[in-house]
Amino acid sequence: MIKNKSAQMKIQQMAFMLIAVTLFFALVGMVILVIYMSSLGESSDLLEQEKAMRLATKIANSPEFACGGSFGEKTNCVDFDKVLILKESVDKYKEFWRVDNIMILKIFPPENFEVECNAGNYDECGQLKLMEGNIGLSYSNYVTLCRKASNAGELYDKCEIARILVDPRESEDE
Amino acid sequence: MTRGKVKMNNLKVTSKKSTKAQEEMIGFALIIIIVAVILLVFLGFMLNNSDRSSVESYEVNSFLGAVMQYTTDCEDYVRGPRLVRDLVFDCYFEKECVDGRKSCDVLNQTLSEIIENDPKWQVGESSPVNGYVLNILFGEEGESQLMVLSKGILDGTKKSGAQSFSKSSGEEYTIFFETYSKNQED
Repeated sequence: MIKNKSAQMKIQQMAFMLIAVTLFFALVGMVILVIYMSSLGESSDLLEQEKAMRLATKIANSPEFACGGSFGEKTNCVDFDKVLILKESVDKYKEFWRVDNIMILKIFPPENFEVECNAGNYDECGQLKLMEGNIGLSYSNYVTLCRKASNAGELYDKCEIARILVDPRESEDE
Repeated sequence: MTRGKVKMNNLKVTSKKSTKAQEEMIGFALIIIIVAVILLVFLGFMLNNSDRSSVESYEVNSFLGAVMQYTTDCEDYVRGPRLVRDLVFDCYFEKECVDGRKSCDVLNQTLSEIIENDPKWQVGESSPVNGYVLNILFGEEGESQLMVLSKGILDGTKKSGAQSFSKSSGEEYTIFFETYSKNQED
């Protein structure tokens, strides 16, 4: 009888211990889940940002923008002359790039940031907006902006530092 | 007398058993706590394995790529205006620009101005960046330092990028750029 009671006690102890251990790990799991869930939103934003950054680089390297061989071998290089011409017929490309807006913002040398570029103020401007509307700075990446310039009658390649900003269109199937 | 002794012995046995059980419980609890702590630390590392730094490093690399291709105001008699990348080579050979300035001085000044003028890397209390360091190294293993630019406190979340390039004659150069920004929780 005494032995029986002792065994029952042991079974009870074991059962309580198992419940306690299960509850403990369930709590730990919940804590981890909460931490993980809280970082999911941030990860999603970062992925969105990276996607846009890569899209910006992809656009900068597309034949309509890229320097090609005109300025030597350069990557992430935008031909300013090409882009100025492209602005006139950019509506045709809206569906092709799947973006709402593209803008090129000169970073260095830090001059005439606010001046919109056109064929007349070519070398004294700071930004070139291909389409109308606002655009966020977070969806951008660095590029080299090259053009042909002249110095005492001699042509040379002038490359400046710029950012290409894109406003990616939210696709309907996403 | 004998009964008393037996009772005492029984009590001692019960007490010993109870102590043993307590020790077992404490040991078990300790194991669970240790396992849980290890699990939490491991998961903490897994979750904190920052995605942001990869995005930022991509940006730092793009920045370095654009900087290397920037046309400076230092001119060469034969090849005209020099790129930052060319100035690195010129600096190594201690060449001078047409106007007499040393290529190393122009390189130093240009790089400082580029970084200082970009709001993304500006150092200050109101800026998210604590400090930066830009290193130009040469040699196959990057064993020798050509130039170093540094500003602010080199502490916080690190984002870095590097670009390697070489001259046709074979010398290898690497430019490193590291930025330290305030932690996001701050």
